[in-house]
Amino acid sequence: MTTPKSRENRLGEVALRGIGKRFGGFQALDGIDLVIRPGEFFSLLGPSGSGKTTTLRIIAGLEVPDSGAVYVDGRDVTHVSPGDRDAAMVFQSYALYPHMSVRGNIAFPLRMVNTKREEIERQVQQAAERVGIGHLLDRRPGQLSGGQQQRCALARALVRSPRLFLLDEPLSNLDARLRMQTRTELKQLQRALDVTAIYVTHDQEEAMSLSDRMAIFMDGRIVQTGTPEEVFGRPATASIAGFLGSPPMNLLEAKLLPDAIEVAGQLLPLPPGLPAGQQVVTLGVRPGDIAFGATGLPATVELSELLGDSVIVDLRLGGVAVKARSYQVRRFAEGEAVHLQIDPAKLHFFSPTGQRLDPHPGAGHATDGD
Amino acid sequence: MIGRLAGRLAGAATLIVFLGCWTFPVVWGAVTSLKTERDVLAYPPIAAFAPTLANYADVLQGSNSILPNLKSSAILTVATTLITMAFAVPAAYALARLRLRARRPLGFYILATQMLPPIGLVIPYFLIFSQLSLLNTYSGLIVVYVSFSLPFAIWMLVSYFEEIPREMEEAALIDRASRFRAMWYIILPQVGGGISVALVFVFLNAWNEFLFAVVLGGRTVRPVTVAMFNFISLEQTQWARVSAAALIAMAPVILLGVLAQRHIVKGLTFGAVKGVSRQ
Repeated sequence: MTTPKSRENRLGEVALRGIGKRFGGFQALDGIDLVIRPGEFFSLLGPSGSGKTTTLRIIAGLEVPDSGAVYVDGRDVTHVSPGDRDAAMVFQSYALYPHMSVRGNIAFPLRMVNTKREEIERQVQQAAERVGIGHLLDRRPGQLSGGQQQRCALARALVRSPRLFLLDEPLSNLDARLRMQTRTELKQLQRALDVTAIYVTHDQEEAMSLSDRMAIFMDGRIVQTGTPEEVFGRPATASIAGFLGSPPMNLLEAKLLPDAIEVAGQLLPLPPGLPAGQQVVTLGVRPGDIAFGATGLPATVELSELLGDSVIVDLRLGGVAVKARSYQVRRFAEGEAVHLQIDPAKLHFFSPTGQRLDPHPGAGHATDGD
Repeated sequence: MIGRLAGRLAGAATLIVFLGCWTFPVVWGAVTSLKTERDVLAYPPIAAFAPTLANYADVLQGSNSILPNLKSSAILTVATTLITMAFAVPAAYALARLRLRARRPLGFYILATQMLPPIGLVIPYFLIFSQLSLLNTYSGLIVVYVSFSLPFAIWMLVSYFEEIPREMEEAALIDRASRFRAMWYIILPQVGGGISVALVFVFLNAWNEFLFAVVLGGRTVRPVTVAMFNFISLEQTQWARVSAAALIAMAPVILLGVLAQRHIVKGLTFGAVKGVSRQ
């Protein structure tokens, strides 16, 4: 449990049981099981078309699953209408009501439950100030900048103190600098409100930085659930490993010999505890776990990209392309001969079918189904 | 420079020609309505005549007053417009939004009814109405008008509804609005322009209708279009009075067009959704 303030009786638990959804001939979701704990910041991360937005829409009640059930705090809400789920949502497009002022937009969810006029005014003011748009209440959405529109959408969601806060790529329409800033504010807001947040994104950096836990979606299934550390540190499959990280993990075909690993014609020491009998494996190594030294595996520099605080180096290691990240900021010349050092403890192994093989005995399951 | 100027002149000339074509009959009618019957028929036509409002007075208050006919027109038109819009708005919304299997064929069917030449329907309608005792009644004509204007209004409104992003409505549903309230508070205000346009067209078509009114309305239901015949007889056509009556008949429609113009032009949805963002 990563949420520090967890209590037994708090609200905002979401459970999905065996959710399936088809759109015509396309299986959008196939057996989604997921439990999101109260107060958690939970990300649904995956490439486009992987089913993460459909999952969020099913939680919101905008789609009805073909099979399975949705529970909020133990209550089956699978066929409950969106308005009766106590969930607020921020859409990717913000979906602000263009004919209403910012005040009207934020007030709308309160008006719909016949809140008293003074109470609406007070709460709207409070919500708007909380996201820093208290001075823009009389504007129309069309007169706001992208960042202000996004804040208006946030205020409209938080004004009703919902049990669930659903966010569908809310930062994707902001420019890079604003996105970073809003990201921090979003996390602070979620902590301050102590509300369950479910966040859909295809941006792994966002998911890593915001989430308490996250689920990785691929082809309509959840392939791994865990904290960002768990998912990044111990990806459950080769495809997750190849999706996470910037640049992602190098995946190389390797052969397990009795006392060494053969990769690209080179021999590496074998870490202890690998399951026996796996002759051919996929070896994974993060670019940042490759060090440059005076000795080690010989490789040639093909290209280097300076990022400021580090350098991404494209290397050729015995006929295979490998990316390394060096924190000694220097220019690498094209064609330069270098030596690579890889800590065997930082290697990842995947079976030919892509499943993680664990060299560390006694380690728990990477996939945390619950 | 010269090329641009020539282009603008050509454009202006074209516009003037078109404008002339459209306004000439109206202007001619307006001028005629201010003449005496003698001046109308004067040959060669005279430009300088003593304008008179006598024709208007006669048309409104004389023995052949069109006031009852204006009332008939108003009843037919208002009833047709209200009934049509009451059904067209929800129907268009449903066609634009709901995932109906029959959506496409239904859309085509609605449009197909517009392809029938009305004159081909006059006789069947006459026969059916005589069986149902609907001849010479308001309800009969209103049924006919609604049956023509409803498909047209639906077809027109659907595209306006389709322009509203689905997310707008989903946001409203999540914000605890019922489907009806989502439509009432979120969707309808945004298609206000489209509703105005459809309303004007339905009103216009009903107000201008002649063929069915003259055949099915008989002596009892005579809208103002048919009433033009008050001033046309075997012996003579009272051109000045016909013109005055025509101008009076046009007035409500022109007034409505002017009033609705602002709504028709106004685009409301900009800035709400990404991509469409700020002006």
